[in-house]
Amino acid sequence: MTKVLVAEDNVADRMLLARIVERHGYDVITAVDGLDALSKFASQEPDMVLLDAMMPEMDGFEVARAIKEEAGAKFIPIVFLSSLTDSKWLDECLRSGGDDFLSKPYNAGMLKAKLQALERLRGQQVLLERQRSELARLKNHLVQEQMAAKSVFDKIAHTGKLRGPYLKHLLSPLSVFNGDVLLAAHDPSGDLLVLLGDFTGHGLTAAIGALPLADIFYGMTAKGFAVSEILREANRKLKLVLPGGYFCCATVVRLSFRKKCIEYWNGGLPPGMLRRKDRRDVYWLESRHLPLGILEDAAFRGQTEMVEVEFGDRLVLCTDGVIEAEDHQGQQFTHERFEAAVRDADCERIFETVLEAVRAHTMDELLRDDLTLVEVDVRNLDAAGDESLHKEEINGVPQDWKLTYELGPKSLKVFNPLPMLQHVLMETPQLRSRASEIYTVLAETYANALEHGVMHLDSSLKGSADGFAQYYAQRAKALEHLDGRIRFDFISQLDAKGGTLTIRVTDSGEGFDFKRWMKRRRRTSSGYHGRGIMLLRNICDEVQFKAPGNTVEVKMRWGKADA
Amino acid sequence: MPDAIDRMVIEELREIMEEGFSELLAVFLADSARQYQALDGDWRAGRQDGLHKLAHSLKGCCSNIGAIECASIAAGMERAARAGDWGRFPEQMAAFDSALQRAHDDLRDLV
Repeated sequence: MTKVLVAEDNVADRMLLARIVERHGYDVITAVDGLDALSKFASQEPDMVLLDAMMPEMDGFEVARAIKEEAGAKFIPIVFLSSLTDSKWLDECLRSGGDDFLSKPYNAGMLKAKLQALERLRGQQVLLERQRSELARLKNHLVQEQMAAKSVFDKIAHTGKLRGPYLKHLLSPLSVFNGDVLLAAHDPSGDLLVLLGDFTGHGLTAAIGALPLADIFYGMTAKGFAVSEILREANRKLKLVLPGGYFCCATVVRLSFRKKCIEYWNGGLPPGMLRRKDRRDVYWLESRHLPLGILEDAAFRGQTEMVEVEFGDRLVLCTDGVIEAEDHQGQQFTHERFEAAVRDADCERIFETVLEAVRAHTMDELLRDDLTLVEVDVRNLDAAGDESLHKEEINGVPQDWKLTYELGPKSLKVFNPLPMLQHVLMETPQLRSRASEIYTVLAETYANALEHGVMHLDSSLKGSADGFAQYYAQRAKALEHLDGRIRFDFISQLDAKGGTLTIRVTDSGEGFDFKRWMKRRRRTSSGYHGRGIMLLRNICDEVQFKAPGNTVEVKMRWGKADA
Repeated sequence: MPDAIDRMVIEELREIMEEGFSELLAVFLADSARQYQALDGDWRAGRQDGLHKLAHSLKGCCSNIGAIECASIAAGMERAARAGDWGRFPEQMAAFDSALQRAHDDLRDLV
């Protein structure tokens, strides 16, 4: 039962009041003065208090203050009793913690209504208090879950090169939940790949999408895949895992420090900026694509654009958190201010200058949590002394090995062995630095063995545009009646310093008079046919045909400079 | 001469207090007499500081018991005491004493 403390020094009034309260179904505790009221409050823990304002020993206002302090967060309604009615008194009641008044003579009906109202309020306060502690518990739980998720995410996403000496970045500590993701890694050739992504939405969906994205980015970058291939795979995976309407705006940049060029793709992020070292102008890395995770694989375009760079140029990327950072009037930072900050900054302080400009705009030292900014300094990596680049990848991988792979006629008709062979070769880290060249060699030697060695097609047909079409018609026909074999022999003799890869391709055909062909080639150095062999000579350190002309052997060498 | 006691208040009190009604009246009779004596004693002894509190307390308990005339005079005394306006105070004291006697008489009939 709800306990009500009645504190009133006037005997008859106390008696009457106690009786009224009792009749309304409450448990009554009485106190004869202020001190008695405090002592009864402490010992009997009433739920509500009726307090005469003017009492001996300690007046009602003092008692009210003491009770409110003692009750702490627990809500104990206090009703002041008095026939005082001036506004100064009412004010004093409220300031000392009173929740209501009741004036003399007591009106039983009025008192009942007030007690009921206060009890409802008390019930709501109890409920509120319970909900508040439940909310605090849930929030605590959520924060713990987020920290755990962040720790998992960090292990997967931040194993890359974010701490490289040439890279500055600002990424919110809880970025995994605001949907921003920043990934950076070197490919086998030493190029730096940077991916800045901004998932739609916040929270778990963004975090979930970031995991496969990071996995694909790091896995494929380490294996030497092209940017377009990484993008295609990322798009395919995100399209598969993200719910409808969710996607990832992203910019991927490959910085080739040795070739002094940048290859980039931007799908939906604010344009990145390439700030020239000695000039106050910028090159924009515009978005020309839809974000990742929207298009079906067949419709996706991963074409990248190239731009030449000089050492000392700076690449600046940001998510729209920077562009849309608002000041107190809701005005956004805008592209224009971003560009001005980058363009006008001292080249050594671009990153800091942009952050200062955003801080000055928002008047917020802490900055919003969905603001991601990255700056890459284009410099000679050897000069940067990034020694860790390859050493970590040399352990536990194949280096000196041989492989023979032979395809019979049934396989030749229907199966393309090149991706599988390329994959096997790419397990050897040194080979990844020339992945595309190796692929070209495989494709050329295999096409030659298949089309000329096994299917006996005449490449001189390809000398004219009409013949070109005719050639491919013949090829399709020949494929149906194909009978023959092709064998690949690979010999890898590599170590940390370099070495040689030998690729030998032998077909079951009669061979061709390569000596005569070599002489003829000197006379006609142009034309479609023979182009494949010239390509091999350009790529490989050695190209040999072996009698009777059905075997080609190429050697590719890796020196210290390439390792 | 108006009624010293509001009969409607008395009926209400009877309903609220049930078997405690007589006791309530007895307690009022004793307590209001004690408080008036204290008021009178302080006035005669010139202790003016506490007079407004005593008048206030009498006003409260008289109003609760339905002694409306007493409550009304006590209210006037409280105002005068707070204001330090002592000119009519002896007159108010006498009026209160008389009203209280009549209220007591009426209440004693009810006990």
